[in-house]
Amino acid sequence: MLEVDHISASYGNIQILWDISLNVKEGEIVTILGPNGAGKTTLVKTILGLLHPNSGSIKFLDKRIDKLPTYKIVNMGIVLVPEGREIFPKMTVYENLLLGAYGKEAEKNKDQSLEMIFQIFPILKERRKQLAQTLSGGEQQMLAIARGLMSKPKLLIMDEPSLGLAPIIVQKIFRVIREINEKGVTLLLVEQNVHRALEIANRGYLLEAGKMVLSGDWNELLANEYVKKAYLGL
Amino acid sequence: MLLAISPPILIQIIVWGLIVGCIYVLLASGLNLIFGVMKVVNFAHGEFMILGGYISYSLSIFVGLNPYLSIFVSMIVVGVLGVIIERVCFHQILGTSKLNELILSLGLIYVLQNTMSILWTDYPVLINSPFESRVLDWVIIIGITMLIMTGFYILIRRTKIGRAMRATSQNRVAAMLMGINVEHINMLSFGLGTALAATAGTLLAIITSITPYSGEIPALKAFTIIILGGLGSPLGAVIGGLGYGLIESVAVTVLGGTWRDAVGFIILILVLIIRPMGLFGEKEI
Repeated sequence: MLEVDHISASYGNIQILWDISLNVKEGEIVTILGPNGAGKTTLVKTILGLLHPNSGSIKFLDKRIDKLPTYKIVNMGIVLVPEGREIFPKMTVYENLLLGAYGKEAEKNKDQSLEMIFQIFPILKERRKQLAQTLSGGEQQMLAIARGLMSKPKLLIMDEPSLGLAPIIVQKIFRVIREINEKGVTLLLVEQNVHRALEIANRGYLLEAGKMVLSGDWNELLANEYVKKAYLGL
Repeated sequence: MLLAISPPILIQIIVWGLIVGCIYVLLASGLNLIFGVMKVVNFAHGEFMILGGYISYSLSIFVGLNPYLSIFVSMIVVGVLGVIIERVCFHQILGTSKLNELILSLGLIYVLQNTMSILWTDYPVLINSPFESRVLDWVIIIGITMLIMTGFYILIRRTKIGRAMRATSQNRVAAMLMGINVEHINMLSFGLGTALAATAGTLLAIITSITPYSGEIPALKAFTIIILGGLGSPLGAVIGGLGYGLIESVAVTVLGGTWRDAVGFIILILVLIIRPMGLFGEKEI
């Protein structure tokens, strides 16, 4: 479904990503692991066209997307729930959700999506008339995920959805991620929380200092000595 | 001091303040929209306004169109020109550096002024109202401003495209991630902003004469108003515009005409000392 093929990317003169390849197949949950500053967010930005790679190619559903503007990529079905939520603070929860359904395809299914979202996140239904900036951190993250789902994604990329949230909310978010996947949405999950991520993912990639150092099935990665030592504290 | 003024004169001051305030509201709202969405300070905004005035003037002279109806034609012409200028000029340099944007919009002032000077000469022109009664003109000016601002409000608040404009102004990257073509939104916002300026220009040319250079001072005042009201705050632009008109009108009567242009800037400095985010602006988080 998504094929990232030997890409390199930089901010100005500083190269961040070195020869990265990865692929996501339909129906999977794939996770990108790695410490702070490894280039995970840069990789995600490159997939979404917010940054264009210097070399290599990115294909989605067999079409090249690495030169397309972001809005076209989004309308093809790759949707990002960005790091730090990035909600629209001075709009209501409802308006934020409507913006998720901005694309033509998503707009047609708007009512259906809303119903589904209010079922998953009843709190958002309660708060739909509130300004998004008045929500708590956990609620904002739920809104960001819900807004992503409103876009009817074929591939949903989540960048650190658990960052800065209380454990009980993290638990809920991960439960939702699994639920979304069961509804047929393919997921690419960027996480620092290695243990939790590998619990729900089919496969994972480990990114360090802008290079892909390891990849494999979830159980292979969990059993890997290096991962155990460096990330799981075992 | 105000108490010493007789009631009829007081009413006149207030009415005049409101009329001028209407023009400021239209001008400042357009400027605010452009700044909000594109984060570009369009110094040439006053010239778009005057161009709108000239187009309405020509329509009323050569076509015989009622100037109040010509507002809507002028709006479209200037709006389309705004879209083209955004595409050809601003679009090319957006995000390169603030200085480029600044020089470009300053340069546009002179390009537009000289073009207007060639087309309409430097002699002051006035649009003659078809109505005998000045009071009727005032009522129409206030009515048209309310009509246009209501339409603007509905567009921004209630339509999909308005929602996309607000989203882009609040968080540009997030707007892109919603599948919004933000370049398209830039273009529309610039067009809409300059169209609003054109309406202000037509009303200005109905109440007083204009030359190609009449746009500079009102544009500066519109900047003052959106800073006073809080950058990006639509309500701030409306209340700021009306308030500015009223204060200016009072100042001219009480202190004399030489104070007309200075008084607003004095207020601006005072407000910024007390409330740096503007009257309706919010603190940066």
